[in-house]
Amino acid sequence: MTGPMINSSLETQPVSGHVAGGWRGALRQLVSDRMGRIGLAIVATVVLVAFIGPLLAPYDRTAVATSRTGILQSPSAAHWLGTDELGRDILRQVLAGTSVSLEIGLIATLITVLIGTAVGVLAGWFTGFVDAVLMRITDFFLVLPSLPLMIALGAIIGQSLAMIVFVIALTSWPSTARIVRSQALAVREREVVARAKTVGLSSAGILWRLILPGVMALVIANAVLVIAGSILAEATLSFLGLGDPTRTSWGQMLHNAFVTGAVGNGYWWYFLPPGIGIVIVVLAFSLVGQSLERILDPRLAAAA
Amino acid sequence: MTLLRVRNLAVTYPTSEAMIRAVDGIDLDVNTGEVVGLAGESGCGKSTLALAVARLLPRGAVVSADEISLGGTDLRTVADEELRSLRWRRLSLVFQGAMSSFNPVMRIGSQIAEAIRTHEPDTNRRDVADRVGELLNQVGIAAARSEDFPHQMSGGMKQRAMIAMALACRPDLVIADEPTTALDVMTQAQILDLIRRLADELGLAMLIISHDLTVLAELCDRVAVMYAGRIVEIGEAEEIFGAAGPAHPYTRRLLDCYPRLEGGQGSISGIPGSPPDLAHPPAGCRFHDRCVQAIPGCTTAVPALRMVPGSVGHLAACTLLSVDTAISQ
Amino acid sequence: MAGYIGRKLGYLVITIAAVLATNFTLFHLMPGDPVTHIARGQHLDADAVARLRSFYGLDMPLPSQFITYVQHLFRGDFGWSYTYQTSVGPIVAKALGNTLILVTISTLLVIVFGVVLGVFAASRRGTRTDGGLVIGSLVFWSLPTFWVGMLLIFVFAVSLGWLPIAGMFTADALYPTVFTKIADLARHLILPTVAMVLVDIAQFVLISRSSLLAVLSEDYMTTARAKGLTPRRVLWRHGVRNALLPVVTATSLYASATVGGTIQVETVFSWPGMGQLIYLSVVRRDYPVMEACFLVFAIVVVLANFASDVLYRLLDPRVRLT
Repeated sequence: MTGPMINSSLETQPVSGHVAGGWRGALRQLVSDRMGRIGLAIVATVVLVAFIGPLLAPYDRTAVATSRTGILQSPSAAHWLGTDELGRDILRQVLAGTSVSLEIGLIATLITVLIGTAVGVLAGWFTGFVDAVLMRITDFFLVLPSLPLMIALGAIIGQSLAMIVFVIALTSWPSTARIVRSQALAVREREVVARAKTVGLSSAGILWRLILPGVMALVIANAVLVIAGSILAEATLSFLGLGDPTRTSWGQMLHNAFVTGAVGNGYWWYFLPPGIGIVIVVLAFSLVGQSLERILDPRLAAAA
Repeated sequence: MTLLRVRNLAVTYPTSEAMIRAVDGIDLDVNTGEVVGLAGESGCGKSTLALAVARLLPRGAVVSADEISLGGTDLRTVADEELRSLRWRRLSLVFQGAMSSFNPVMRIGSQIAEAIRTHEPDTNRRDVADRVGELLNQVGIAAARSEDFPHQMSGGMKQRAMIAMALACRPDLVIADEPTTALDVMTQAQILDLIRRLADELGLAMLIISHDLTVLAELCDRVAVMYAGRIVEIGEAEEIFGAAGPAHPYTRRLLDCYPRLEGGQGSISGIPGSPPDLAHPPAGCRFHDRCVQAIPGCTTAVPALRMVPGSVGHLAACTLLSVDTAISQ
Repeated sequence: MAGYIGRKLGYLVITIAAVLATNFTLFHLMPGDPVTHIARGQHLDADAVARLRSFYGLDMPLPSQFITYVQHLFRGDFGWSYTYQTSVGPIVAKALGNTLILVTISTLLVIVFGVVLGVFAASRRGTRTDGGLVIGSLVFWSLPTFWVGMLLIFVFAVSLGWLPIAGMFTADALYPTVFTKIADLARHLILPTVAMVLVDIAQFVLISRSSLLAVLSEDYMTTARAKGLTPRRVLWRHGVRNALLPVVTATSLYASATVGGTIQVETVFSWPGMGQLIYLSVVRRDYPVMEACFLVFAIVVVLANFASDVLYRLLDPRVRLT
């Protein structure tokens, strides 16, 4: 599963786009919702670890074992999470991996949201031919199965983090575009826009001042879920061998663990921690994202 | 003979802030063959009252009453199995069919047949189909339309189909909740005629709920007026809508909202203000802050339903009544 | 309805054509010609090089290349795999069969159990069971499928030894009867199926739950209860029947997700299906196989979308007759 959570209710029913009390109000509501609170707390912790972790336990790529006994050790006082097949400390890799995974997730999400919002707003504003063309392209990309596409592109372009970010964004922007489009269509129908037109505000002006702010709240809620999906996607791609071997993301660690037979031999300290890391981060962003969606759409809250 | 007896019915919705008393101590009777109307603004609790009697309120609503009996069966304590069996056979409901009261993925005929087969399971398929056809004809719909889906019918037709379905098991009492709302005036008139005709022909007892007094004036033998969860006036339709007019200031203002064809000059007026917050109802008479005739005594004591002098069975809950009575004595 | 199917079929054909074009673009127009890519690091004899060049028609202009390519496909010629030293077509066909075994069973389980659990949660809305199912679904969705596979192998195959570690059949096994063969297959199927189901079921639980909750507050549910129908009939014939519609829509998106799950599960469990095939083709840089796999995956998803659209039309009379 490499895509963001499917939420058919938000996709087909546009929301008001406004939260009582603006940013602060949204934050307040987020904190008062239990799921949002927990998610936010975990995200904050993870971000902290991403920054501070490498300082506390610096990951030295060159610190490999000097003898046979140093490799694949189970946890001990010297190495709290044991060592890998080259004798490297796993705890430090996990800590270092935090920032790598987050970084990729965030950058990929940024690009996804930029493309998706642009396409969605343009399609929803211009409607007609532009909308039809954009939506056909969007639908086509939605139909293409994402993982095979990412694999194919990865194999052709070559392994690098930039490639991973590119392919994740390429397969994620369509669903954002659809969501933004239906919201943009709804905003367009509002009286404010009609009045702005009569007053003589240019199309660009309306787009920038009315439509964009109207979809922003939804974009943000969606973006949080996209972060979750992107982190999962990167982990999957790295696991399948398309990641950058020189940067330790959690997915890359799991790839190393798998190909060195950690599973078959029962070296649980190698493949458990990175996986747990992924689950925690993805879950945290999902909680926040779902909570935001509920804040934006009271109907979802009623159904929750 | 009394068919439905309700005594001191109250419905409360507990929320995180306060208890909302949607219905606050209602007494109501419907006799066999009688058409009773229940009037009031939106939010006054009339639909809640109907759903409470039929025990169809969602969970979360707290219903209490000294009595809710339908022809001898105590609806408060009846077991689920028996309740389900008496549904539709003794008590059926007509909702606003024009909205989404029909299952959109099931044919109209099947939905009517479903009711028949549930309560008369031994009926064979041919007879059920015939019955469905007859019911539809009765309300002026061609029997072939039983194959239609709800979205293929117009609002008026759906409302008629809803009525046909309500009569499927030959109930003793039919409760109709806003049967003509959301329909255009022409269709409204047709539906009213239909209901009137059916009530007469079949000798049905009906409880008709509407915010539209003109609808009730046409159809009902007796009318009750609700305000803020309480009944403020009840009596024969002829008395309330007749020359003597209503006894309660609220009913009078309600009537003034509707233009009359026969009267000479006059002005249509709304009622200033808005209905009270049911979580924190005002002290005394709940209408006092919108009533032009309010006297100081209206804020202190809750007026009970008192007999209107010179009438039979016409009651109104107005402090002024007792003042008048006192003066006239 | 016939007109609708006709239109959808036309759209289907166009989409498949677009998929072919995309496939062609991906694998043939990337920098450097395909033969160079393939030859990179591989020792190819003149015969293999010649075969490849002819398959790709590299001496011809692009549009002709594309037409040649499509012609090859229609003839069933998917190219030559130098890692397997045989035609790609049969390899893919065999792998597809193995994948279908895994996918069919897990999809059935996901949909059936997902909807049932979702309905169960909705009917107990507000209780701890409901809350637990929602949180549980969120947690399970956050699990990487391949990691779940690894955990399952570690716990049930390595530590407890109850089930086989990998593969579709026990290596070099002899089966006295068909039944023993099926039994062995079944033993090997369990863990991969569980891995696929655990993550994907969450989506269906959440969608059917929220869909049913929305339906439960509709007026026609009150009408159904008022008619004195049994609670079971009210829930299923009136509630679930309407709540299924968004679930059907979800299945079309699910097809794409299933492909992702298949690739991950087959890789971890060494299940000899399309997923493992595409993974190995990446490892070995066997572009013809990769290309064929991508094509098959894409077309299968497109077909699944088509089927789901048609199914939706059948279930919802409001759109059926337009």
